[in-house]
Amino acid sequence: MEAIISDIKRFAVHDGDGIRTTVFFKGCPLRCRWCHNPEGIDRRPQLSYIAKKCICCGACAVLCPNGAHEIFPEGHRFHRERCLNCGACVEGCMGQALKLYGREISVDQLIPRLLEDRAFYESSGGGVTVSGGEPLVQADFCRELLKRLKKEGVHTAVDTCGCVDRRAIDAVMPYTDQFLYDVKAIDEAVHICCTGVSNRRILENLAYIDACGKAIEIRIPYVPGMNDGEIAGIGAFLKNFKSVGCVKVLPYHSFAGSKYEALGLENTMPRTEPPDDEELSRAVARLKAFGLYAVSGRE
Amino acid sequence: MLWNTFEENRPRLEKQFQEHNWNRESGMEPDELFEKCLEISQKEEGQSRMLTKARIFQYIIENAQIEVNPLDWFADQLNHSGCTARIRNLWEKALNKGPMKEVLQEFEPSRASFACFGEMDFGHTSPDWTAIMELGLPGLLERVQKNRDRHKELTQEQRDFYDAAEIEYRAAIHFAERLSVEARRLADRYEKMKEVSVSLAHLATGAPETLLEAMQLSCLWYTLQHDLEAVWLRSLGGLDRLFYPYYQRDLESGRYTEEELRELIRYFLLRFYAKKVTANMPFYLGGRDRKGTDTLNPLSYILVEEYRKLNIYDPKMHIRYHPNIAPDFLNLILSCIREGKNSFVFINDEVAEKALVRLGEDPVHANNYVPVGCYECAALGKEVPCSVNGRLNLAKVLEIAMHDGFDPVHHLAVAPPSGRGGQWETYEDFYGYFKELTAFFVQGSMKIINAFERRYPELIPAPLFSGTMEECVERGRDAYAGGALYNNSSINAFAIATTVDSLVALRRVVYEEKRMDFARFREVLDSNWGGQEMLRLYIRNTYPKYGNNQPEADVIMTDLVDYVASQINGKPNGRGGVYRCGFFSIDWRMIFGKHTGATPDGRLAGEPLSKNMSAVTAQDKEGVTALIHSVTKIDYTAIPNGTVLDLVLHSSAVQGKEGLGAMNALVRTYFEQGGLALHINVLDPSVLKNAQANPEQYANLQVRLCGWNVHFVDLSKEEQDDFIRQSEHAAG
Repeated sequence: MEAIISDIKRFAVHDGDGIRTTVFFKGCPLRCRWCHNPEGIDRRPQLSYIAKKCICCGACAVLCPNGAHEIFPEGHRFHRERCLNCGACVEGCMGQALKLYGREISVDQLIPRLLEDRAFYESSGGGVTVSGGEPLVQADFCRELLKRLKKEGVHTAVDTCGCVDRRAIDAVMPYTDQFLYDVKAIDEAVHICCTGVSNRRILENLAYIDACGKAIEIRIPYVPGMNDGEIAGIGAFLKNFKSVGCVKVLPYHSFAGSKYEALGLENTMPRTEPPDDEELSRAVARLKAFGLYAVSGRE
Repeated sequence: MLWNTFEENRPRLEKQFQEHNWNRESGMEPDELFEKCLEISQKEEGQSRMLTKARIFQYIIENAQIEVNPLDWFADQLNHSGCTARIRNLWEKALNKGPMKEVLQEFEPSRASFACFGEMDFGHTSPDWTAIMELGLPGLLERVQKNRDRHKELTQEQRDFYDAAEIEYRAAIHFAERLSVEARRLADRYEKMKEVSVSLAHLATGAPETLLEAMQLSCLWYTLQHDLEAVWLRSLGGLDRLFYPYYQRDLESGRYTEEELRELIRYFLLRFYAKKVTANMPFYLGGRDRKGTDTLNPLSYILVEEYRKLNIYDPKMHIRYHPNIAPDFLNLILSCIREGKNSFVFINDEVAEKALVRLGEDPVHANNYVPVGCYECAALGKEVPCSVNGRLNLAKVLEIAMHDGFDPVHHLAVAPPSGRGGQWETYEDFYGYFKELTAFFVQGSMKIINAFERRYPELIPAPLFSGTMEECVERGRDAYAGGALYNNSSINAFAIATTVDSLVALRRVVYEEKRMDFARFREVLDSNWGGQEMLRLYIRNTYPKYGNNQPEADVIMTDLVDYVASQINGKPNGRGGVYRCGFFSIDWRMIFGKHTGATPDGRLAGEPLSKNMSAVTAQDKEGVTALIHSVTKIDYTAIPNGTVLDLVLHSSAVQGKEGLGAMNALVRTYFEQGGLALHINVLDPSVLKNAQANPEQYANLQVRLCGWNVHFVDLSKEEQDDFIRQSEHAAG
């Protein structure tokens, strides 16, 4: 069985406890306006091209079977409409301007790489996190992967948006130590406006995981002008859950803008400033008022 | 107890070593003093240098102007204008023109090519601080006298040594007396000077009894050894274990409150900051005892807390790491580093001790090691390590090997040719020749160092420094004449990552992928990659590199390190001791890089070489965890002279409780896997860029350069850019 992933990040310190290696899966059911991993949205492979890194070596033009790259005296011209995202050009790119997000990989290929940092997991109380995109879109693969990791004694975390079939959650549940669960809004209309989908299934799944007694860390992306009115609603919703540990408020940032450009995607990110520390701590205080263990992602 | 607060005094305290206020009536002007000292040297030419040195030492103390700063708790200033060092330079010049001339000439091509240096090392010392504190100046004098009397008959060397030591210790006591009198003179106007005067008078008559006196003795010693004997001091010792008994006694007797003692510590730390010692003034904290128990005490914490509040980058601290180190202390240090107050190097007790034991030192002595300089460990009171004698630029050796013994940058025939006309049929053949040349330069370096060392008794007699060491005093032999228990020397190899990546590239390009033959690849490097930018980028971007936990590069690394270490460790030096192998580049990588042509790893001619044990900048693409895996494949017990990993972390990776936990785990794992020394820079590229553009707004921004700390804005543009590149790489 193979999965399609966009990246592997080692020394990840914000994706669960301790030092972790995070595997980013490709494909996501949500279309969050502020998404800062846009390479994880589409399930298919995508070519990323960073123009300022191009040194016009011309290797891509030679390697591309479809004429998507052309080199002119004035520079490199990339015809994305001709690109089949096959990645043939990437190998030759000497300026490292081209990168293919989305490679097929098997559990057997992944495991040795994920176990390389075992010593760091052990000294820090870390492990492996599956993230994305939405890892549970590829739930069968995740199940196999997490099962193998548990066999190796590695702590596992699933970073999910929750907008998946119940069967997907059941598939990984026995092999998951912790869920990192996104809650973006309680008001359904706000949620649809922010993410393009209803939150009904998300909230139901959260209640289901909670009832199963799995450790959960809630993550709330805090985006001024988008979901900043939702904090009280989220607090009220979460206050009766038993398995919810930390509730993390993650301040919006706009660093991902260049990724949209490199992928040739329309930048959907809201034109807003990141919340200042004061605003952030107000949101945290609000959640705390519901008896939740809330923290700021900036701390 | 003060008429001014510390904060009010601080600006003037910080400038007190630049803006002096000498008591002009207390002695000679420096120029006259130097003339007089020169006269002594000339008059006694041909006699015992040991005694001449002692008489110069004594003359300076008796005749130089002194200064006691009425705003400070400590006094140690003498207007000596570097007399001793200047006269030694004259001795050295005469030696180089005379007896050393031939051996210098023979070595010249190696030096001129920047392949290897071989030099004297009069620094990198720590006296036996325990003896200094326990005995005090009068006690040390008495010990010298007693040991002289133990010998039935004295050789001329012994007689000279004991005479000289007595002269210097008497003079040292006189120094304390002069300062005490001066402080008393000021006491009419400055109340505090009474106490200062009394503490100095105590030190002239006995061992220190209070924290004030113990610290005062450290300050005095610095002037006596570093300035007047010109034996560069490179550690103040383990200040927590050294000072804690005094601290405790002061508190228990009610003599001082904790806050008053903390204030003394602030004055003390600031004094060494103000001295602006080259490459910072180190001391160490913690460490395990022989049973493995942690030796940290409440003073360890106080020293770090006060350093943190002062926001200074000097003195620098060696933190002795071992598995039982108190977790809250480790977190305190990491919190400081995270804030950018990063005067800290961690050193792994277990590995440092094993390395010294492998060199033949007693485990008891090895356990009581002191890091001198940057990361070089030596047995306290037992060893003169001379940790910076030789420097071996491995990247240059590779360049010379590729050119069959010729240095293309300086157009010099430097080393014996291979006899194969500059073409090697297999990679192994070439690697063999490269190793031969490495040995050739190591031996050349040793030859000149040994020749210098046999002249040390004429150049650097050090009776005061020797007088702290038990074996020197018992034997009646100077520490630089082989009187210490361990009389060692060193060669430090560097550019190791540049060299390893280059060997990988050479093997692939010429022997495996056969992109071009050896001669053609050499031409490409000679032209500084002219017309071959694609190949250069191909090598940089796609070949395996050291620092990514990739066997292809790491295997070469461990083989090369073992080989270099085997050529250096334990080889006899010129003082009855042995050589210690080190692997550090510190900032030499800049200047040696300028003299090294393009290297096969894709480095352009003149660019900096790789730093210490780190990967080539930005080539550790798999991140810090993989880097640590690579770096800890090396057997550091074969590197007694030390090396360090410079870890660069982005500030976002170490935020919050999680970030602190991650740092903690990195440190622990690095040491569990056998790492020797570690320092960490927490950087943010946007901050560094801003600081480069607006230096006036970032005057306080510290970075750890190599083995010491600097203000970022004081670095050259080139060095700043290097830091920016590293921090951008850490940002991913």
